[in-house]
Amino acid sequence: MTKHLTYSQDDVLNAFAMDFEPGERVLQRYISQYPQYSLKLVDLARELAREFDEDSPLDADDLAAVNAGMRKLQRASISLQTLQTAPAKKFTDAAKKLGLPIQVGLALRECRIDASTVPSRVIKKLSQALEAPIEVILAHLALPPNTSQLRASKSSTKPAAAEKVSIERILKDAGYSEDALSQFLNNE
Amino acid sequence: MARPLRKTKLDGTSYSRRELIESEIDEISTINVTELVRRAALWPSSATGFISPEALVYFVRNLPDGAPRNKLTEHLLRHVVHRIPRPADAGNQTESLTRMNIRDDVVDRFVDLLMSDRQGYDERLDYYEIHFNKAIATARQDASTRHWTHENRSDELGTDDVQISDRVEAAAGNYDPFDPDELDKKFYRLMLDEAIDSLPEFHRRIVEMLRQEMPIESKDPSVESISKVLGKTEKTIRTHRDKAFASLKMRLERKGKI
Repeated sequence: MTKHLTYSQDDVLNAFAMDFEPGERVLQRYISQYPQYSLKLVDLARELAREFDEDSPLDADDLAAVNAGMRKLQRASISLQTLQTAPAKKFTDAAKKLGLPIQVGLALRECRIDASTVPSRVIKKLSQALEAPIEVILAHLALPPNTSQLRASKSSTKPAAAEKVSIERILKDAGYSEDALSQFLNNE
Repeated sequence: MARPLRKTKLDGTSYSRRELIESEIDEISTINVTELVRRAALWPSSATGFISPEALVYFVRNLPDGAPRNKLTEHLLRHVVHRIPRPADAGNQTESLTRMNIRDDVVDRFVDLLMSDRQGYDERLDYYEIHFNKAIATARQDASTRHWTHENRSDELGTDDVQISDRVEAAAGNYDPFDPDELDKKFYRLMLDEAIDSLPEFHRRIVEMLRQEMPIESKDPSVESISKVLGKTEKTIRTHRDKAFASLKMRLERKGKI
């Protein structure tokens, strides 16, 4: 009963969808293997069996949804490019607005922060401070890390390859005490 | 040869595209980009030169940034919208609004996936190259769960103390919504789906499991049954099956479909 616990609900539902063929007892097989998701599997089977009249043309309302999607895509792409080419000051100013040290701003610009270590409320505030959608902030953080050539050449130590680190590590390096760090990470 | 997919199955082996899609991608790879854009606009699927949504996803992911990719993306979003029930066809205003939210949610999340894939390969988009309609069905279900829960549509009807009503049994009679002869007709299938949508959640689940040929009850504990999945007695399931069938019969009769 407890086998396959390592798979997430999304993994199982997607695998079921890809395997699904009407009336071939795929549903029964998956329910038997993943009983913890049985109702989700039944509901998904309902969607997979749904019939569509795909030959009918889209109406004005449908086309408006397509256009909204295209606008979102174009806006995000412009914002990400803007963020990638923005001066360091934009990032350090944003960090200051959030009461964070300048090092966070620089690490943010250089995509050196592991996004999964940044509390969601901080991502939200950064999105406001940088005037970019949350998904753009996350897309920016997901880019490969880089270190400013200028800063590397000014450094007295041998430059190391840029790598992603946790925000906790950056704050510690910037001199945050354990108390301040705990408050930052746990404050909701 | 098309770029291989990276998503792995639950057994650890890699997913691959269907042979038909691989051949289609190979064929389309030989045409110029102007022709590709022209063909991407073809509709319906019976049109000569029509490009499947799976192949379209492949080219949207692999073309360089620019006007042709934007045009292809727009056509791809039309495929997405085509696979979402129309808000205008809903039975009432609440359902119509919810359908609108579901449609916008599915489109939004698909756009998020495209954006994420452009920043770095996003394996979740592989599902759309394997089987576009099934991947959209999963996205639709995900969005439906969020929006119908919000609308508080999840109604609980199944209680173990229901008495089989002669009236309900009589109303359902020998009616079988999954009569193979009827199911051969596309219009019937569309109407049946619409009728199933209008059922309470408990009934919808019973109907869906019956459609997938699950038994109501089984003496063999290794066999999954409707009664086991829903945690109700066989008698309760049978009563609600009859109620659901009676309701489907009535709705389809009203539309003159049976």
